[in-house]
Amino acid sequence: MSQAGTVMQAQKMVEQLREQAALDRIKVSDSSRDLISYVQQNEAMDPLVNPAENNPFKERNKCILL
Amino acid sequence: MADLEQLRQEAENLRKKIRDARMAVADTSLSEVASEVPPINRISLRTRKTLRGHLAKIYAMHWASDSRNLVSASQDGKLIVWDAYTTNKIHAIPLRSSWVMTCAYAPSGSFVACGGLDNICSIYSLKTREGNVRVSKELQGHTGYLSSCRFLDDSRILTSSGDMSCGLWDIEHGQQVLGFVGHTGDVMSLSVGPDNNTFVSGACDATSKLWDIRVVSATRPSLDMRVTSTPSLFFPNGQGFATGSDDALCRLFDIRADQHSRSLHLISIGKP
Repeated sequence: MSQAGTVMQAQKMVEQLREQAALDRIKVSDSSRDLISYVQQNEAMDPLVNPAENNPFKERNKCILL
Repeated sequence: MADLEQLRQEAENLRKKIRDARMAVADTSLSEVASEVPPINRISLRTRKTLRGHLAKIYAMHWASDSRNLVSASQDGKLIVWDAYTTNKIHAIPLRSSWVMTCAYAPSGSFVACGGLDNICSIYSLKTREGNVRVSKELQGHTGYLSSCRFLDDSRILTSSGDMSCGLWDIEHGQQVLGFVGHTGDVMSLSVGPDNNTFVSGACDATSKLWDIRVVSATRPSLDMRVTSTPSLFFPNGQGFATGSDDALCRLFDIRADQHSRSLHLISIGKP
């Protein structure tokens, strides 16, 4: 009984591994370049790297002119 | 019926094939490709707001999609929804179980969810006609603690659990639609990819798994890390994800090259 269960599990594992082995993998050089270009393209909009003038979390000046 | 030994052998062969395929595309490293990139200026972080109100340890928080509101969960038995611009509390939601470990804000802003040692993912509606916040659904089914949850939309939520599985739930019917089984340790975290079709789970079995919601079986061979992996987070364009581990390393994984890309360690802690 448990033998059948284990065989089924093993079959499922083999199926999954087959799918995973057949995946397309791109070269690390290409994907690294894409990653880097994505980061560089978005650097300007990153508020940690390029602090914006209108940071909504910054304390507003509380002085009032009378 | 195929011989168990044959299947085990085939599995081993396939694992080797995967290892070889990964090595075959490793023509360089991220460090090498990035060596010409100028470093950024030192980032100075400043506390801008302090949100006070919880009376016990805060276990989780999650920003709303407007990047203004956020929800936090504390073991004082409350979920608090805050306006981070003004530090005002918008809602203080008493929980049925105070052993909360995770919370999530729905992308629409209409719901929040939480769960923990009660093994239940509770969904709260923030926009009821009566104007009060109430439990709209309790998603039961996990046989272990709820470690993380994330809304895909108002009708579906993903959960990860100490029962070693993740689940996709139909909120309206209160039912689990898909179970993601495969981890051999408590699943501690999950992060949904920007396409809303894939998510990564990190577990105490020292692996991260990348799942496709449409396909149920893990799409990628588990990426092994040496130690318990807890937080996971998708890279914003969906091409990678990062994990944190007990070995004090943050790792970046390249999804399309199907391998580990970079390890980062804090200089003051030092390399293991």
